[in-house]
Amino acid sequence: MSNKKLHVRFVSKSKSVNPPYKPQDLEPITIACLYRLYPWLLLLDQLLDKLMWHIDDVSLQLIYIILLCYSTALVVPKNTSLLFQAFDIWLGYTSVFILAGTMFYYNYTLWKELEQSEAPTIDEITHTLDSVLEKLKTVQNEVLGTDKVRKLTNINSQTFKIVALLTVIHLITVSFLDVRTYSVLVISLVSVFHSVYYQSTMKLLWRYLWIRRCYYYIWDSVPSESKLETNFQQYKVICESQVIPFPKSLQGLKGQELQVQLQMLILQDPTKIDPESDYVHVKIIEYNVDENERKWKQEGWTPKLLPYERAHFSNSFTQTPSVTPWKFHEELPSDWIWIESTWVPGSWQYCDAKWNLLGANDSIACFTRRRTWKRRAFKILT
Amino acid sequence: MEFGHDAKRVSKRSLLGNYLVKKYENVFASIDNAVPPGDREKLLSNKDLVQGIATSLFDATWERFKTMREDDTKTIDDDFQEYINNETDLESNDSFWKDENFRQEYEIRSASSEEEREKPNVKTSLRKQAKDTVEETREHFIDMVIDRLILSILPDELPEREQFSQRVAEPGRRHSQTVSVTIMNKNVRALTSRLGAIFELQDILIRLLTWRNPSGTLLALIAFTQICFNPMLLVILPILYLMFGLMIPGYLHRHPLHRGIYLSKRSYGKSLIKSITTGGNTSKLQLRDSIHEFNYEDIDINDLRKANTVRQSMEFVVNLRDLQNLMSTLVSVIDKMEKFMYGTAGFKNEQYSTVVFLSCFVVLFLLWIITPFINWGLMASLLAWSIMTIIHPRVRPTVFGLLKKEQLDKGKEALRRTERYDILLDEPVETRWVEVFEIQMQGITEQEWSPYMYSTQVFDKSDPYRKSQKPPPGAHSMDDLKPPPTWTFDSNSEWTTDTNVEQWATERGLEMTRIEGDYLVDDQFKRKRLIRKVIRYANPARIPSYR
Repeated sequence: MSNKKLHVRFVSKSKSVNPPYKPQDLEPITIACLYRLYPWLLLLDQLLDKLMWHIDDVSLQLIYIILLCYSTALVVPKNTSLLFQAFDIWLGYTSVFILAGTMFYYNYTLWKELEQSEAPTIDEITHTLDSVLEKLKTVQNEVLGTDKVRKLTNINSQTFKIVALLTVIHLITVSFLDVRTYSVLVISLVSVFHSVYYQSTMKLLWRYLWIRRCYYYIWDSVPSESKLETNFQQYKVICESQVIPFPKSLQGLKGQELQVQLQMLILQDPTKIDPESDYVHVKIIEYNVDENERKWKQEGWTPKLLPYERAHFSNSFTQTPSVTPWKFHEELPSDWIWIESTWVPGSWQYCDAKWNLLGANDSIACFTRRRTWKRRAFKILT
Repeated sequence: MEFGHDAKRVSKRSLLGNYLVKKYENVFASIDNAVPPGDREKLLSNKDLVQGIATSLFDATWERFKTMREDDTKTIDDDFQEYINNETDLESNDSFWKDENFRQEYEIRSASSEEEREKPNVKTSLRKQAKDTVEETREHFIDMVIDRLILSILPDELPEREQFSQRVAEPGRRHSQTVSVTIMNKNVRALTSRLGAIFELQDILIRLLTWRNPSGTLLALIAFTQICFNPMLLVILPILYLMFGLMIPGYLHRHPLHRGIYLSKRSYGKSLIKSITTGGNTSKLQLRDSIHEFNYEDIDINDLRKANTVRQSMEFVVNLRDLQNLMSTLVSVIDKMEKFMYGTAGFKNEQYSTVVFLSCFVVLFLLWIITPFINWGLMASLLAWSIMTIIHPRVRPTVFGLLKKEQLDKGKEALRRTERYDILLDEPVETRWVEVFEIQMQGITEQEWSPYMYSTQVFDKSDPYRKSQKPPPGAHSMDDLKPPPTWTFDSNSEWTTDTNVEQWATERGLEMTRIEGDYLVDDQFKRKRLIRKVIRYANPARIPSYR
């Protein structure tokens, strides 16, 4: 009894913390509008269901798609013998009629059943509205990406890139395929795009390194302007111009720890200072080098990183590749002097696959980690 | 136990029943002992069911006495016993169903096994018992079937049961026969004697595929090639077979043509094609027994009958062996398919499954591109010819000799490297929130509170546990709190107190008595709500219902 384990329970998902509206607070006019809107909401809900393949009868869905493909014959009939062309067009007309008939029949039965059954409660209406909104949000996310990584938020170079790329793809496909096949392909693509099959396939393809590399090659080949700007700053400036009082002897030194340290360092090489002056101006900066690692299934944490992401050692501010801190030690320009004798590493910071910080502990959600090596340097300003 | 009494009552009545009780004492005892108090009622509610089993036990025992007198039952016993033993071995040795992909799943399994140790499951203990009885008594297969039947009939909480009940209640099936051991036994006998043709066909196919009948193999290849180029042959060839393979021999049997054929004792000369296909090694000239044409006139009818009976029983035994082999093969094939379905296709090993999916994708894409440029008939026939040539017993060693082992190893290594570095399983994990209530009990004074329990229950005044004056299900320390099965606590998230007491109290429809800080207080207890993030990489892979 004393060591009884308890499996804790999930917080129920259904209740949103702050519902945007409460049904009982709605104005009568709003309720009336919603009531009028209800059949249309149901229709939209159905349409979205079809688009997202939230259906019980997969065969029926496939029939609809095939009929839709056949109806393209009305616009672009097959370029064959007259008899076959006539048959093709007939098939197109039949498909269109069947599809239209299905639609009208559905609408008719929907209205009829709504009339016959009891009036919907306000809860039912809001529920349908919620469902429609949720589905629209999913559709939007699937087209544009989630809120975190939204593509095409404004018109920029990437938009042009997409347009250019699509034009090239379009030209290539059109030159290989005839118009009919092309339109059928487009219809099929659109009709399966929001299905779980297409979305899961994309997710599975994304697991493949080479596909990611292609994507980043096309998408990120031109560095954006903001990157260029930050490229300039290689270090963190701690102090632009620090006054270090400089008595002639080390005795009776006062001041901050840093100042003492600096004074000692300067004294080691007295050639650089003006012997007449009682103080010097120094610029103090801090170099930060990130050490990055990635978690692999077999090996665990290793410095092996993906080709398109940051390097094993990178500058913390620009994320550009950097040499190891130990090599960096020797590359410091001659007028700069290190303050600390070694690089000081921070603790590991665990991140998800896209280097978003998760916390200080490793868990199954963590796929990358980084720690920052810090070291300060100063330069005597003349 | 009610049905134990039942059985005892039966035992007083008849000798048969006595036997029956002795035999199933172990099983009954295990049911009696192993059922935890909660499940007892459930078993009682299935009284009818158990009575049903008892009656079929009767049938079975009768069947047993009847069949004991027959001689060939021994073979059935042995064969089936062997088969069953093989099967149990297979089940117990199979570590395939352990998921090596995710640590968390090991944890679940070990956790659940712990639980099982604490509260022994009826089904597992029964299965063990049943196995013991099998080993001890080595009994007839009907008994085995009944053992299995009892096991399968016992109530089970698996969700798949619902599907099962759906299958039973399906209108088409309702009219068919109920499960009866007698009918099953009868059917097995009937099938065994009638399956000869099927086994013969199987043998023919094997002989064709292994080049033991070279001319047949060649003919089949030619026919296949022709079919590839002219699918109409698919209709023509069966008609031809019906006409000349089945009907003409039937006619000839009834109306022999009586043509004078002089059969020689030895045959001289060889066929070129046969020599080539068998590698010229036809020295093992099978001196065929001179063909003995049956003369129906001067035969003793008794001899004929005797010969017929001998042939029949021979055929029965051979068929039974073949049936057993077929069943073993079927079981292993189904096992393999299942492993594929639940393993590779079920993303048990995510990396491997992803590679398979991607390869399929690439193949599909390539096929789509090259299809219009390929003559599929030619391709299929060429493929068939080359495969058959390669698996020819004389060619095969040479071909496999050409494939260097090192090269194969290199290929495997490359594949492994691909799996290792080119497949990235770094999707964001699933996250959810869990909650628990920290309940404190009032001490002597109003300000004094002592920790009482961590529980999933709010333990307010209307709580059923509180009404019955029992502590709610819970743990005494935070370390004993476990995430829901298959999930793990996020190590980067600690238990945090929900400071919005009013909200969580209203959401649960609780009586808002007094709120002190983060606690909701009533006259005896106060509680606060703690939440924490749980994560998991994926759902556990699917496994079949009986694993």
